[in-house]
Amino acid sequence: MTYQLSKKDFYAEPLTKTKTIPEEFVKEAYLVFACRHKFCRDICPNFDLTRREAHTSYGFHTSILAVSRGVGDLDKLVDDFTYCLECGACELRCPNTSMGGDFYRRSTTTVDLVRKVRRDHMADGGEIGNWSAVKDYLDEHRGFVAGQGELVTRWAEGIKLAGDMKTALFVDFFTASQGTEVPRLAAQILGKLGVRFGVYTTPGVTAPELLSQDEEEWKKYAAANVASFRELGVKTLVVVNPHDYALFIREYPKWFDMDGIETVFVTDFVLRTMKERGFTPALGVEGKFAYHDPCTLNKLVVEADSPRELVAMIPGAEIIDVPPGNQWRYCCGNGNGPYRKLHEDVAYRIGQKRLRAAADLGADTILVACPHCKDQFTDVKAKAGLPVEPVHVFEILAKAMGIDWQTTSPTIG
Amino acid sequence: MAEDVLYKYGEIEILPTRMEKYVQQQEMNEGERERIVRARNIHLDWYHRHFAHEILPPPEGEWEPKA
Repeated sequence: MTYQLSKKDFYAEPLTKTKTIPEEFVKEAYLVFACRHKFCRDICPNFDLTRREAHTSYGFHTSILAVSRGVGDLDKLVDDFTYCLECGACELRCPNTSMGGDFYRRSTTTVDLVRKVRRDHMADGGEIGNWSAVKDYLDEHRGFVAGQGELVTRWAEGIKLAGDMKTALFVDFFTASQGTEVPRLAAQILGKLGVRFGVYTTPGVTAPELLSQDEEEWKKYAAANVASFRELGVKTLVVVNPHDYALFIREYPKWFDMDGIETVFVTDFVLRTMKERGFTPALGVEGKFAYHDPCTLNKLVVEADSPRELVAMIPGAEIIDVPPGNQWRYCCGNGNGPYRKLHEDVAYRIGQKRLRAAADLGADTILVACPHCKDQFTDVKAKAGLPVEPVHVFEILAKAMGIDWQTTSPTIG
Repeated sequence: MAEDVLYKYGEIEILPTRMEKYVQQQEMNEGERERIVRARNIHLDWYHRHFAHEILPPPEGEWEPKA
């Protein structure tokens, strides 16, 4: 996938209580405030539940404008900035992006904005309610970094990996520790396809949550990753977690030269390899599946086809499809940052609404391509008692390929 | 085409000098431009599916920028 560079240089100047808000930042806020379409509001999965305009892209920009005009206080408004899922739907529906962003080379970048406001506010001595939950989560990641060599490959126990780093599987803390079935399935599917690959064992803290707290620390880990990729001779980076993938595609190019390193999401890579090698899954998996587009692929990167194509290759499997554009208004509720840790109740209700929509389609299974979506839906299903089972696309693909991934440990490579 | 434009990545873009007095442009590469175009097409497809009985083509030659 092509790297997507979208960077506003004036975001580098921190917002502080003692200095007036820079003129360019005020203009930025006015560009959205001046719009009365409010498409950003209607597409926002959070607004859909809270019905608070202050929680939308329009509201965030208006708050900044209010502070700049002296009629608002960021200390009182900053909590509104935590009600952003960082899914990117508002950016896509904003006419400043969709109807002129490419022509004027100026688009709405709400995700960057909310991350900036949160971290600038905390760096300036301000507090954000319940942020300790996010700090604890990031501390877990830092602990993981200390002993990551062992931890990051524990999921692969029993699988013999080739160790050839030209093609490297990027597995982060979350998938290595909680969503272990995803890298395990990916490794075995790639093995079945005859791909030789290694596992990148020093991913550092890759959580997008860190961008809302300390951008410099996030960049430190990212810089170490890029240096390691060069040292190890990585040519193709296959990423199993779409949250990491979106960071590689959209955040890394802002600060690092990624030339010569191809970053591919794992479902894209599997599909591409199957087509190159003429492989089709032979075994049938009967079922009517709903498919949930992860926000990271569908809205941040806007490339959502490969999971659907993989399922379409499976004999007997049928997707009751809701097109990607219609899913911009959906989110599992986890968000692409600290949302679920800060607003567990609203996150649950967003997830419940999405699962209910899948149930209304007559599906008993909702397929996902993101371990965070699966984690969130599993939680929501258990609490809400909805009859829709969240399943990763690779689980049914492995079945169709004759891989019993839970009990076997084949040699890879 | 009355506006002064640049030709970049096979598409048209406003001349930066025409933007300077309003707002700063941002750094944007071809990948980001393609993302915006993809998203626009997804939205317009949805819009047409839901609200358009017929999609009229632009008048002959009008859509092409003059060299």
